[in-house]
Amino acid sequence: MTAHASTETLTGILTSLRDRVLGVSESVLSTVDGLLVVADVDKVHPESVAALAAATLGVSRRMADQSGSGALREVVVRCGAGHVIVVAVGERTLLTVMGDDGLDIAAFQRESPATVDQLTKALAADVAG
Amino acid sequence: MKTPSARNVPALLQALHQEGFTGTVRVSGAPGGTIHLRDGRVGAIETPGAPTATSTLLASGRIDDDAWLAACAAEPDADRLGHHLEAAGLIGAAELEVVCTAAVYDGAFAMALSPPGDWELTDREPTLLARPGVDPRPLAEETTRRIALLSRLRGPAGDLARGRPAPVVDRAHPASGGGLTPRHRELVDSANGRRTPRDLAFARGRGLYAVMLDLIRLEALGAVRWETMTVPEGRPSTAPRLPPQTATSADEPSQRAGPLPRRRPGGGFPTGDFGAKDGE
Repeated sequence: MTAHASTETLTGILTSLRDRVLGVSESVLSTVDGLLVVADVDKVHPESVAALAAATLGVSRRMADQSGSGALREVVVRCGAGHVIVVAVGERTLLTVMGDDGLDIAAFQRESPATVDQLTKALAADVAG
Repeated sequence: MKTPSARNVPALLQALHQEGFTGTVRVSGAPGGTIHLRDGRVGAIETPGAPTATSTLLASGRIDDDAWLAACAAEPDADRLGHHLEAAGLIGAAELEVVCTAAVYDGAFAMALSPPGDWELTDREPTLLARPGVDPRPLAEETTRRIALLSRLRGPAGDLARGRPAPVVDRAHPASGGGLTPRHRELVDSANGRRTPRDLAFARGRGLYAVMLDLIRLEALGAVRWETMTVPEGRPSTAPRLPPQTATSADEPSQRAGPLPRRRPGGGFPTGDFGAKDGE
């Protein structure tokens, strides 16, 4: 793991998402096996979110499969005072975004494909070795 | 639908007021919002830019979440939820009116901070309402007054809304320690250089405009300042984790996991294709 994208690049992509979508408060990029990659967080414990994101996406994929509703797009957890959204970034990473009650979900769905694409490109340099 | 010719949103609302329109105006834009009209009056505004009355009541803890869910279950038409909340003794009629009306003004103010896009008119959508609602003209006038006041106090209101205030840690400064009201203290504690005034409003369950005024005051007192921050550090690789024997992607362990074993009627124990390929 030598020539991979810097933490600053990845954190920059996460903070840019927070700037562009009203209501996004924190985000965590993690691997599908639950390890933390980078985080733009304030209050949450990023390692715990990383572990739970892997479990959430895994279970949700199974549920999508079982219910025959097509490929999983994203997991939206709606809570009393906010939202948590988990989306896959490529094959091996996950993005978890936490937002408040006023999260602009329409804007998130508009902006997230670009963010996922940027992250995918930034992570493409990570090769096994 | 109707009234597509209005010049701007206030003019549209004024025209709908004269018609006595009941329904919803969806305004696109960043962030845009949804304006709920009842008999021509604005009963509620939902926008990602400012907390609704519901957000305010729940985030501040004024109404407890379980009681709220119970009230929603008992009164499926949210237009009448206000009566139910009062009847259940969760909140007084006067307080509810103040909260809901303030949320309408706050929502209009938040939507006015960025240029609105197009709009469309749709049917009534049930929501928690200010009663009897706010006439569009005073609403537009108050919004203009608020933006003018903020501009006079601290420059363009839009810039103020995008700022991220951080508490000043300088303990030597006389104003940054004690001497703040509990409301100001709470706001300084919530400000962390990441949250915009809008984020603080949602976090504390307060109005956006009130939070912005408080922040201007706190900045003058030297208790907060505007800034952004970044935290870079090392990270692990996201490259595929190669198990010793195989080179397939770690993401889809489909070879073994495959579809779940199926139960068949009268079939007893599932044997199926559960990882027992090629006579292992």
